[in-house]
Amino acid sequence: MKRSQNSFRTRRAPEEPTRLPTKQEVTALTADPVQNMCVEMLQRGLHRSFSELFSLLQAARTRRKAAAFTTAAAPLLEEQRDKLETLKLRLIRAEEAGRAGSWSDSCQQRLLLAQYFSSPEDLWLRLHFYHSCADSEQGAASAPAMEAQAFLAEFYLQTDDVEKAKQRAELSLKREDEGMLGLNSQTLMPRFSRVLTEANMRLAEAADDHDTALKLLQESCRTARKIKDESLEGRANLHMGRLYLSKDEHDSAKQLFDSAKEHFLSAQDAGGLAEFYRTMAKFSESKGNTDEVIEFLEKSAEICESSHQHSELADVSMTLCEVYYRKGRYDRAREVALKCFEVSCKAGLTAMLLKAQTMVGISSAQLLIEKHVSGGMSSSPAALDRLLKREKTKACGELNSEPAE
Amino acid sequence: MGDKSSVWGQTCRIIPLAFPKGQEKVCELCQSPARLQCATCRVTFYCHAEHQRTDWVGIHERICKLLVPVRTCMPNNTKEIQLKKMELIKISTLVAQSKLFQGKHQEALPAAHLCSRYTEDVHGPQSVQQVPAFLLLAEANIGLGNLALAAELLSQAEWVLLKTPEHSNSLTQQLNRNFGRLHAATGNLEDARFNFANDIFFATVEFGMNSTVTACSLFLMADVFAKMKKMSITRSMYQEVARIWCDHLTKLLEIYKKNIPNPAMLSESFHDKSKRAEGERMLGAILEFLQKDVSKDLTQIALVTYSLAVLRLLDGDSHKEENYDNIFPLEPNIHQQQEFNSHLVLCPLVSKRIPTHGNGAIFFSTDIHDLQIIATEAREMLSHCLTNLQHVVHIQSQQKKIKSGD
Repeated sequence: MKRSQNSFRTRRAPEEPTRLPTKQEVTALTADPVQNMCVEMLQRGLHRSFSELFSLLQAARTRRKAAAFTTAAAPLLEEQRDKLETLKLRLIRAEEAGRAGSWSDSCQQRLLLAQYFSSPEDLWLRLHFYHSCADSEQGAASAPAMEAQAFLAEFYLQTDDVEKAKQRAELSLKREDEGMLGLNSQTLMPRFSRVLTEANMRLAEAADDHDTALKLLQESCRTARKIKDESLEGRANLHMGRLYLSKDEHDSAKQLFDSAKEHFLSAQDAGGLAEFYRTMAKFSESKGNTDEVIEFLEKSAEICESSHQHSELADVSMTLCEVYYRKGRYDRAREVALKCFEVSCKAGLTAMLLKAQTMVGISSAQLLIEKHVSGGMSSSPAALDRLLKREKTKACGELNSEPAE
Repeated sequence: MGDKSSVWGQTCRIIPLAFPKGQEKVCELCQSPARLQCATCRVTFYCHAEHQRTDWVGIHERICKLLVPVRTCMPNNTKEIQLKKMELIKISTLVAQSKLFQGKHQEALPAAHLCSRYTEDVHGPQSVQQVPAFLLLAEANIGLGNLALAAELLSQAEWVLLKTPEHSNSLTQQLNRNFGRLHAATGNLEDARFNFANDIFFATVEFGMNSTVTACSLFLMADVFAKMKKMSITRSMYQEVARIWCDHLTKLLEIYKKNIPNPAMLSESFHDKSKRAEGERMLGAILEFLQKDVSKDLTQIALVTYSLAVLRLLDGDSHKEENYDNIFPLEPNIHQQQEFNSHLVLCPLVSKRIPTHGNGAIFFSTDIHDLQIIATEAREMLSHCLTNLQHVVHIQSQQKKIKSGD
């Protein structure tokens, strides 16, 4: 008893009274992390950031449900803490900047978020932030918004949404013409011009009538000339030349083709030159000059090979093979078909590979027939049948005579 | 002996000593010995006329006859009685909510008490089903300044919810809202912000971002920021509240327009109408703020004015049925009908100028000359709105040109 009394006397009194946790602290420990994040944003008055975060989380859940029966779905956005933290930080900064009237900074935060979500499964988030940056009401003319516009224009072009790509490019160029853009955005103008040129060329290809197509291509040429892009101007000329060719206006077509060649040579654009020669081959074909066709196709193939353009090389080789075959030059046809087969294997072009195999087969067969016909045999169906049987038997005999293992 | 009071129901005096021992009657509201009895149902008692009137206005008028089977039940009818009690719970909840939407805190108390009593009867004490009643009582008491009682009620509600983890988000949302109101009333703005933040979160989860419930939560939060003098946040939140209400009312207006030839389709519950009363109070407060605000956002002012105009149109429509025949005693032709409809759109804008009855009925004049005067005044108000909007568009285009020079 005395010992315990002493121990009580000697025990040191606490230096500070223990502080009880507040209700908020308790809730922070017990509640869902997403809820804590949202409540924190709302406590600071950042309701727009909260709304946007909430709707993104809902969208992620919807996408996850839709993907539930397909390949392994990525984890939910709310389960990825680092992404949530980045989202929260940037959204808050964007809203605070917007509230202070600094729309350029607000757009910059959105642009950074778009650039942060770089993995393929986050493409929808990326697009969301590029859109919210580019389409911002107040900050639309700021440098980050123009950067976002440039990405979207190029993205839509890549995904063949040509109209949307054109709209975005035109809008940005219009803003530049009206003097609405700052100096920082000027450097992006060539990108918009390239997208516009490319979009017009594609739209021209798909156009129903020649006049519309011509108008679009003339606009492409003007835009390409404005940004001094020789390669692009060459392609625009080439397209226009093809248009005139389809209208049988050969002289105009030739002029444009020559101009295109000069541009490609000036820009040292191997791809452009290869395309030029393919176009020239078509031109020669329209004139019925097969030798020229072969010459141009050979040149095109050579350029494609030296510049490692496998897909184009396979295309050109197949066309060349068909020309040789039609001309009766089966040996060359077979050679070119084999080359096409090799390139298709390397590039993984399955359809082309099968076609090349077929051409190798039929060219070889023709060669065989030629060989035997030139040796005095009849080329009647019955004679060919007997020849085939003989070749077959010969092949079997050769197999049987091989020593057994 | 009966007291004659046709507006607040009839009562008769009772002699307390006439009742057997153990069966003394107590006041419906304060539980003190009763001296009056409701002459209609004869199962409800009051200590004095004031309490009888309060109960009549609060809830008794609506449920007088429904109480008879419940309070004179036979033991072998338990299941039926339980169902009747649940019906009473539903009615009293709706009535209490409606009164609170309209800001009538004193009048909400009888309904809230009744709800609490019967919920306890049916589901037992401290059940999760009793939480809505606690919340209604708490809200009414906060409105009346009885903060200590409100705090006790909210603590009880919170305790019940903590014991029942699988309760709905709606209850958590309402609990947080009431705690927020309580803290705001006591000047504890930090805790108020925390609770309102949770209110907004759970309202969004349960009802969505574009719900009028979420709008109310935002409004309450904006009020706290206004007290903290953070006007830019207040402005931003009010903007969002106005947008939600504007969208909601525009949808209601579309339904209204479609059903004009069919007045029967336009009938709504008093609960929905009361909810709109809450909307009108919120929008009125926002308009007042915007008009005094330094930034003078004309777009927002026009938007809120438009929303209030639509609200008044929809509210005026509650008496459409009784007025329709007055204005068109004969079968109306299409032209008259169209004229009437256009008046209906415009008239409520100036409804404040038309004398109202005690129960809020708005009388339209049957004189076409009066209608024309009203329509002219309303058109003037709308054209003033339009001028504001045009001015706004002009300013915005100027601002765009200035900003492009940045």
